[in-house]
Amino acid sequence: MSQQLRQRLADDPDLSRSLLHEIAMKGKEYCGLPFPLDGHKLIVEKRHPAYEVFADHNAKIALGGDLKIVNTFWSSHKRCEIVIYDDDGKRKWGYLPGIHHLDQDVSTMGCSGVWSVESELKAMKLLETLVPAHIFRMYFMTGMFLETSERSGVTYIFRRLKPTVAIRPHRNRMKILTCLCLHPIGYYADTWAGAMVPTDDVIAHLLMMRGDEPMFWRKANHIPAYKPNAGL
Amino acid sequence: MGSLNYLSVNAGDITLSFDTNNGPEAFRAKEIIEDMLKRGYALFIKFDDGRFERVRSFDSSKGEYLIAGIEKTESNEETNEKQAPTPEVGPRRGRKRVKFETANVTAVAPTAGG
Repeated sequence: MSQQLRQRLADDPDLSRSLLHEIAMKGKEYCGLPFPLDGHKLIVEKRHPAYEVFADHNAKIALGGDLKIVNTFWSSHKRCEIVIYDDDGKRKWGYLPGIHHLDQDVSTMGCSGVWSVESELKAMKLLETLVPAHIFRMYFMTGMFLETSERSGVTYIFRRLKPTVAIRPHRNRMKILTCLCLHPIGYYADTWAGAMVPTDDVIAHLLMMRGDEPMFWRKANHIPAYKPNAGL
Repeated sequence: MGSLNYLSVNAGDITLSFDTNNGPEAFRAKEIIEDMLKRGYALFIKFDDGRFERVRSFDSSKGEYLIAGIEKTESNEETNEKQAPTPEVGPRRGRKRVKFETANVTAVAPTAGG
């Protein structure tokens, strides 16, 4: 790709989006191709034809020096992620602070350039047809709304750019069961940003909950409420 | 006139409308529906009473979506002239059939967790 074309694509995200859309339609990828972003790993659904392409993109994102992450896990005792990594052939470990989710908020803001305002407005219009007027108003004003499943009795708080919270009554209070996170096609690692515009992610959650609730629970990542990436 | 909405990353939400009386259009729509299901897309039908059901498979020879059978409740079994008409009930046990020309369907791409 010529430097001139690269610059043109970098200066005009709408042009990049329409080119990606054309390529996607030719390859019968009806829901399109996600937009890679410099400095952000893009995690794509494993069966997606472009999975290997984005895996290469992710591999090029530097970890810093010769560091290679071996494993990470959550410590309930320390309330943070423990990271095990290799540094110049030596195995080491460290903490990733887990007190609040400000880092994730900032990274999510950084991904906003991949979405178009027009797509978000279309998604809002579609959502308006799926929920009652007062619920849409609630979402428009606050970025969240509630719906209770008739099948299971679980109440869901659908939130823009945050995992969906599943709650149910327990001893006169509402108990958080879990936070459900999933994105159609893909998402940007360490953010709440999906490949689709935020309201399309909400619509996907809503349709899956209404149309096949067990599948929604099966497909989503379950994030405990106490973890910062639950967004609570 | 049938329609299929799908959530698109690059172009926003797209509605594909097709004239089921037009042979090539209907054929193309059936191809797309079958392809989407093969690729792992989740298709949801919205019924007139506000319910949603996920499409389990598609019978392209008859142009019908197959969805899970609905549990019968007292309100379902009551006849009520004021209720919106429900989709045609197919003969297969455990699966209901819905004609694709009248169904209001939204497709969601395979998901990647989060």
